[in-house]
Amino acid sequence: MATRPQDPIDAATASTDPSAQVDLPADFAAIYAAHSQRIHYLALRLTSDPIQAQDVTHDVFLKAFRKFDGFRGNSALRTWLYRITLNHCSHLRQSWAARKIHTAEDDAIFDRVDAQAPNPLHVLETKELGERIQRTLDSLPGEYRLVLLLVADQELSYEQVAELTEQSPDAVRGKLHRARKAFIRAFARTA
Amino acid sequence: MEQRHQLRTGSESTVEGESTQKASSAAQRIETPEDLIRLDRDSIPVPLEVRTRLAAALQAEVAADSQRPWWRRWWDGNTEG
Repeated sequence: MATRPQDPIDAATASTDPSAQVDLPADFAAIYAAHSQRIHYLALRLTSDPIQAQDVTHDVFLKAFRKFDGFRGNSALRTWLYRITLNHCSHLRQSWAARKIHTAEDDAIFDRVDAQAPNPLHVLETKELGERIQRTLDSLPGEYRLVLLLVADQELSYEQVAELTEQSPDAVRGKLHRARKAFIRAFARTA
Repeated sequence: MEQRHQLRTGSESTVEGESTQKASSAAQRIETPEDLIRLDRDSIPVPLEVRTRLAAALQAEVAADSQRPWWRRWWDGNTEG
């Protein structure tokens, strides 16, 4: 069972440099190092807003610190962090409240667009890649966006993604298949 | 510095675009959208500001917690959901 991280004040006063900034407690810093980039990225791509993504990341880890005693394993912690992040982002993106259910006709739109185009080799700079991915994700149905972002974390199982998105693992697999197709079509249009 | 990314479906195996041997060997193969998303994710660090703010918030929180009477801390610790 995890123990409460050490007092950050102790960590700060232990420093020999009085001008040193207060940092995270060592054991909590390890948690932050292990998970913060994925949480921040998820928040960034779900909110499309770097400032909100920072706020979400901050709030999620503040909650994690308060509940630190309750986690017995890395897997449970990761899933919990994702859940808190999704809740935060859903509050920020009001459109999530009315998550649209997509039909086969909706999927057909993605199939028709650029259906004849060969799959591209894109030459990108990293910053351009981020902009294109954001535009692509923004153009997708919320369910597809969410499934892709969660499945991209290879340490999350389909069962965990299913739990986070409140559907069955089979439904996740089905949506992932359609989401991939939709993403590829939409990404090609951002070139 | 440019990075080259290929996005393709599982059924497509050909590479189009710049086709010099050198470029191909430098190309980073992307098999699925998730690969592309991971590449993007790994290129975006968490701003240091987040860590700094969080450390300050934790410090304030622990300081406030230490000022509560022992019975209050015990009670909250046994009733928090």
